[in-house]
Amino acid sequence: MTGSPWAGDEPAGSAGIVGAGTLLILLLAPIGSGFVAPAILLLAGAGLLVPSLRARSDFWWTVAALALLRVGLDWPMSDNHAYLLSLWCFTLGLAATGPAAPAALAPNARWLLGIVFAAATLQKAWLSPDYLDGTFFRVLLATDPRFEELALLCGLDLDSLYRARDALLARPAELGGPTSRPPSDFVRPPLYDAVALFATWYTVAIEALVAAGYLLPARWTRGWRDLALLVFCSSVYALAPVEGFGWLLLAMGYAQLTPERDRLRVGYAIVASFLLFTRALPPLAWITGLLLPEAGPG
Amino acid sequence: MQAWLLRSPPFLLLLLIAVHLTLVASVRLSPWLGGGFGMFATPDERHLAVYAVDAEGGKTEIALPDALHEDALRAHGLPSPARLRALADDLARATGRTPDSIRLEVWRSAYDPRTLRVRGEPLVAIGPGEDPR
Repeated sequence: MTGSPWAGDEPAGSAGIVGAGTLLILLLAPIGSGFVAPAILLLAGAGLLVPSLRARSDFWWTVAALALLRVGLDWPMSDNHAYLLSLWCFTLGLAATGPAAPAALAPNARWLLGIVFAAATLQKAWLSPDYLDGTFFRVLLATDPRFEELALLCGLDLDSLYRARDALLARPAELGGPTSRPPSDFVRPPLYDAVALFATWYTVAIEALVAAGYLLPARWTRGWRDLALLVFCSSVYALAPVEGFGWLLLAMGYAQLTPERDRLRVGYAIVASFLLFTRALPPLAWITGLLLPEAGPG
Repeated sequence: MQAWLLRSPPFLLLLLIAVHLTLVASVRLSPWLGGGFGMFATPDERHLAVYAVDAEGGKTEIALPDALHEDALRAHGLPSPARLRALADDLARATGRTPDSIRLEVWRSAYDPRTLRVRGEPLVAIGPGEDPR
């Protein structure tokens, strides 16, 4: 890449730490079912205990193959997290194939991050007809139990929330049948719509920013792209409980750090630890307990 | 190791995304599933209706046996004709009907942006009867 506008992102020799972090993710957020789950846990544990394993490409390709097997066994129900995890383990395997191979880890991590965020932005801004108008988050806040506390903080009471959820998830009247519901309006507090609209634009804006940060030439973005990723992970995954994916993105971000950006390694460690903390003490549940003690545990 | 192979992961990811978008457009894969990035981008509440169709064309909704629940979930996620036909065959065996007397319809909920009123949108159907789209 030397000579190209995208030069300047060569590896920092952090493959060992990134590999250990990736295995830790597999232990903290186990994946798969049947024999795949224990096999991956066993490999992750072995890789953490025996550092020389992490330097072997066949070790990583075995983990990648098991992660891919999980995708196949669950087909078509796996989401992008499963695919990206397998691809990342394959990438770590490539970085262990020879003396020159680790140099490929940083640019691969950077391009993967850029493409992930560009695809997410494209999907929200252009391909989904009901995202930018706020419909998606208005529906999500009421229907996804993981965001129940946020809906309550937005002014809904539990009864209204459950009635709205039933109506939004019911079989549409056009389909007929005993469980179909006639359409009804969902009366929402002003704060509910405001939060939904904020979530809509915040998410797409920061995803676009992170995408630009990792896809545009480094000389334009080096100063802020990691900060954008850290802000994204700490804000989004503290509320959306998919910290395993957050850790995976952080592992990729860490892998592409250049030596002059060493101070940021601490930032990555802090955000990864913060996500672990939020898993034990979810911010929304904590705030709801503080502000709305009568709402009880969600 | 070949240089092109070392640099292959981003291209593999682009391929995954392209396959995902193709499956979403062609066989109605849920945008939330697969290797693309449609999660948290669109509501995707889907509904599967199962009908027994008599000789005169009258249809009666029938319950899905518990044993086929997992297959039905997968058919929600990827309602390809082949997957729906396989589900219809299993359903025919489980209920003592002929496969060509079973009709499956997959719908999704669409929401009015202002009122959030739910409107049903047919995605795909197999079996005797008119295409509801």
